[in-house]
Amino acid sequence: MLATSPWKRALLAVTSVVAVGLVAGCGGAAQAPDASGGVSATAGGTPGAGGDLVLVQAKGTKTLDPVAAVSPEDIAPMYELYDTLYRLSDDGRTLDPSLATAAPVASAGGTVWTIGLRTDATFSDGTPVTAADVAFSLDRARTSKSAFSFLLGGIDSVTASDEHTVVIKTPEPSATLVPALGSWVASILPKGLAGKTDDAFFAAPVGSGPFVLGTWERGRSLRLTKNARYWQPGKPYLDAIQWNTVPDANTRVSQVQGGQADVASDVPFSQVASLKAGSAVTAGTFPATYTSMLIFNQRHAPFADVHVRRAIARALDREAITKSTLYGAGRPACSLLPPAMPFAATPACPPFDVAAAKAELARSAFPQGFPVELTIDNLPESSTTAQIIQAELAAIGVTVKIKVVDSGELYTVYGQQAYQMGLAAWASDIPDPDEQLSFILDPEAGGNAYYTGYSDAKVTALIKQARSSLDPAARTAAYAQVQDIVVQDVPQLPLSYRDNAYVWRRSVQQFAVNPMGVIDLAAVGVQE
Amino acid sequence: MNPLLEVDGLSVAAPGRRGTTYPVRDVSLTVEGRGTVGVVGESGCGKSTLLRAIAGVLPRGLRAVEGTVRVDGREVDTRRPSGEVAMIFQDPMTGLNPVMTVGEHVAEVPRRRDGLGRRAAHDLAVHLLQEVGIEDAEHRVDAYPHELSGGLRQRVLIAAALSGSPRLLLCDEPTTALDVTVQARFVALLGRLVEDRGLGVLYVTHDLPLLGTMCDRIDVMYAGQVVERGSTREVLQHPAHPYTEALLAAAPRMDSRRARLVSIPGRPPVLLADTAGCRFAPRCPHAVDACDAAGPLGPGTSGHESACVRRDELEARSERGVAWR
Amino acid sequence: MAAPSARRRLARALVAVALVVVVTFLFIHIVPGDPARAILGPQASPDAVSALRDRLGLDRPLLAQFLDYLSHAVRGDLGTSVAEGVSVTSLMVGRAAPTVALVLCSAILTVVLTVPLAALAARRPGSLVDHAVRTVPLLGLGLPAFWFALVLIQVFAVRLGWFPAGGYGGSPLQSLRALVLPALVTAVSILPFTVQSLRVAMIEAADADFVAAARARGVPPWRVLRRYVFRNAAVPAVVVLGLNMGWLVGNTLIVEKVFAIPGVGALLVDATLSRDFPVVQGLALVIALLVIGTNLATELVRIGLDPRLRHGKESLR
Ligand SMILES: Nc1ncnc2c1ncn2[C@@H]1O[C@H](COP(=O)(O)OP(=O)(O)O)[C@@H](O)[C@H]1O
Ligand SMILES: [Mg+2]
Repeated sequence: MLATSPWKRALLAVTSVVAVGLVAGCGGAAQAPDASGGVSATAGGTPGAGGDLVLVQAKGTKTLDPVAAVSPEDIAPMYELYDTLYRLSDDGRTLDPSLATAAPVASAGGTVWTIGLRTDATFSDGTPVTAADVAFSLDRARTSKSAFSFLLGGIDSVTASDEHTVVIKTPEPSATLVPALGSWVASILPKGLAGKTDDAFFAAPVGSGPFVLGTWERGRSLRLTKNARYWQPGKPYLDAIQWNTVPDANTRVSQVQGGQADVASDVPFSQVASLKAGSAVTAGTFPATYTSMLIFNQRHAPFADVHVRRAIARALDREAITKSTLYGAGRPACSLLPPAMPFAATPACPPFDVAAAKAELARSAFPQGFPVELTIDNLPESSTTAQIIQAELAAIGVTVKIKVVDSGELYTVYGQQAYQMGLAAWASDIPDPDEQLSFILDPEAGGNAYYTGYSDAKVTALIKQARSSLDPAARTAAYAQVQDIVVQDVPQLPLSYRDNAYVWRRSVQQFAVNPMGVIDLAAVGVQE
Repeated sequence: MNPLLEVDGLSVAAPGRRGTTYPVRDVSLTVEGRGTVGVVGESGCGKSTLLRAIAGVLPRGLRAVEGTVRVDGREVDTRRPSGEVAMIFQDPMTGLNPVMTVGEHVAEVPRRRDGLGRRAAHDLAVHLLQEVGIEDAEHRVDAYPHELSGGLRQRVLIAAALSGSPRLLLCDEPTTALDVTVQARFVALLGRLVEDRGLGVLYVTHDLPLLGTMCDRIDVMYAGQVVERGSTREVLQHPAHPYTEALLAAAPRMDSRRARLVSIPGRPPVLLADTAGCRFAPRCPHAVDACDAAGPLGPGTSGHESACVRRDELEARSERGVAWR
Repeated sequence: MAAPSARRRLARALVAVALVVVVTFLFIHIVPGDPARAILGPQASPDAVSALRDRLGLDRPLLAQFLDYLSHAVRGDLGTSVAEGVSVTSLMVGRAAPTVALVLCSAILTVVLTVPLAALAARRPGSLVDHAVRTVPLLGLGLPAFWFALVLIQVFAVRLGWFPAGGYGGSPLQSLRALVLPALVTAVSILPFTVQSLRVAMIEAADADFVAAARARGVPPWRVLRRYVFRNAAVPAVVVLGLNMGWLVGNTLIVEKVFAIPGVGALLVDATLSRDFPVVQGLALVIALLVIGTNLATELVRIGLDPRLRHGKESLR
């Protein structure tokens, strides 16, 4: 046998290995879209200087180029290696100056923005940070065809008017400019990448952030060490931070329990309560912008009917769904905007009521109900959610067939609108509702209203109006109106807001995670 | 002087699901010293088991439960090899370790047990191979068993057996798998070794005529027991047991390689506990009522022993050269 | 002589590799899912997605993509990782070391555990010890590897602190220490097969005439066990171990994840999830080569152990 067909077995082995890979891949951690601002917990007292902090996360950092960064693991180090003009305030809802000295001065009706820069900031190689560097960096980011260049899409030009003054022009007044300038995409790099190629520069990047690159072993660990030239006095407290890749959630927890790591992210929600009371470790959840939702393809006949969508909204017990999937690490959703997001309102969401749902369905073209396919990915919590939906919709005559696709395939299916009803999620990257609302409600913004085909002229107009208004009160009013309309129109049905769960050693001081999922590591310390 | 080998009342038990059987039952036999004693019997009558018990290498599931084995007057433990007897098996294919060279087989005991140096052990091996008549021994020490013919392998087995300088050699049908000319040469070699080394040989076979050419004495075994014993001449010419006579009648033709004793009707019994009387009786054409009470070996008229109740009658007829009816 | 059969074997291996390449190429392209979308995430704009698709050449005909891949692959260029932006070969080289170390440690540990257990069981077949040795590892087969791994981590890493709770790297000694628990999990998962096969082979070998003959002529017992029983039992046992190497490698994929070993398995999981085609393709190729290499190695070891399989030596008749 051995002599006759080694190749048959090789083939078999490989296909099984690939299959295992697929299955294992499918069971992988949730690919949580990343997030934007707000502090919700602190631990320990004022940090002392020194010490290393080891964080364990499900995946490895794949790039140190802010323009290429897409996953939370890519994004986290960006905030440590590089500076931005503005940074999230401690409450995570507004932005404070960072490399900029103050809020931008808007002129010409809010289309010309003048920003003064600090004069004491230098890159880790000692060269000062200048307006030319800022102009280079912002131009590079907004013109790159990368996943998040759209955040800076509303910029016409960036110029250095003198060594420490930057002038940004926007075609119309832009309320999102400052939040976007606070995102990692807008990280400030040396002009011309200090004369290096992309590959050479990002193999040994130079930034003005609190840390510099120590060692990076792809897929294994990323270690940053204290930037001795950092401009903020006294910071960072830590000598080094290191992210280790630990794909399995239980192992991450074990490593913190065993003292091998200090902080673990993506902790199973079911374990948070029991870990909280540990003597050496504790656990907690931090509000985020992650919102799971049911999306309706309006090209599919029943979902073009608003009464059907409303009936489903009333037939689902979002409280129950949240409890059985999040174990307290989240809240049932009502508005499309999560509470951690500025301008989130509390619209009047009709409560769970099967009789009312039936009455609503009776007003539709499908009074007796209809069969429908629900597309989900293969994560355990998706299947739990889908099963509850299936059971609850059965009560109003909507018979749900669950269709599971690989998580790597889900958004391809949605993008082609090759689904009827689907489970999806959204998380924001900046602390401003515009990113989310444009993408999931404006059919012109690229996402086809988050793959639903929904289109409402009034909603689109309100979103545009809010984006180009610099008056907070006007924005509040516009966004409140949008939130009220979508509660009535139900283009998507938000199900729950999910927190980020962490476990960390009690020796970690000032541990906090903002709603964008970012930890301000320059402010963190460890007790020796 | 003590006999070289003295087996006294040996029983080997095989505990099984349906009760204990006795492949060897109350066997006594002796090899006085230099010379060859033959043991003959149908397949399955306990010959191999007897030899293995003597060598202390009983297979799993078999245990000597009664009797003693003495070598040179000293009792040996049948549960482990005494090192004083060597054994050669029926199948030369399976008697040698396929992953060891000829030389390793032959040099092993001198080197590992007797503490000879590498060189000395090697020389001894070559010498032994030459002694058993292997030409080109210097080269063949490095051959593996599968590279040798059956006859050569059997010679290697003898050389290996002799390597520990045993005084007693147990041969379990060593030539059954060989063709006739090879067999004759092997028997001649054995005879030479008996002469040169003063070896005692206990030689097991189902080929009674073969024993006639090489043995001084013969023990005939049936169903785990010795049923006839005497000098080779006596046994062959004046068989005193119907079983022996049947064996003689069924003797294989000289040209057949693996003769089977098909001409004795019936099969040897399964030896459950104690079966009283003659065990051959059910297959014996001359059985009488008295067979049920047959005792152990007893002396016949011509001086050799038989367990048959009609041994005198049988002997007398065979002496007259008249077919027994 | 050995040449024709060696050439035939090599030809078969090449056919196998070619088949693997074609099959995985088709497989990963037929499995739905857009790598560009998978990499960029749900909120990436269609512009960004199509820009990436363009850069990856994903809109070209499948055949053109395949031929392009082939022409580069034969020159040793397996392409560039879509997700990480570095060459597939450099990515794999970095990940291969921990996996190879893990597989080696597992294989060694398997042998170290199998030999005494099988010997213990084979000493008295049918005895209580034999039954215990044969059934206890079977229980291990019933419980999933990841569960066993978690128990080991809780006991030996969190409670006792003897070994790290996963991870890999640092000094060679640290890495070795980190491999003990994962290797144990892998070894235990194939132990039932190896113990059983070695046990049967040993019982068989122990019953052979040459063992009785050797014992009878006075070969010391330990030497009989080693040179006669083990050496002969090793031949079929090595074959079983070789056959199980595929399983062992497959198991390391799960084990790597639980123990956070940054090996090929973790890379494969990542790459599959993000539809990083060049990496999946490259890994399939490497794994195929590994399995074929293992088969060849198994055969070589067999030939080394069993002189009957050696060719080229003339029969001395
Ligand atoms: N391990 C064993 N367990 C039980 N019975 C056995 C065992 N080995 C041999 N026997 C039985 O003992 C009897 C004698 O066998 P054996 O000594 O090989 O006969 P012979 O060598 O004369 O052909 C046979 O009936 C055989 O079935
Ligand atoms: Mg026999």
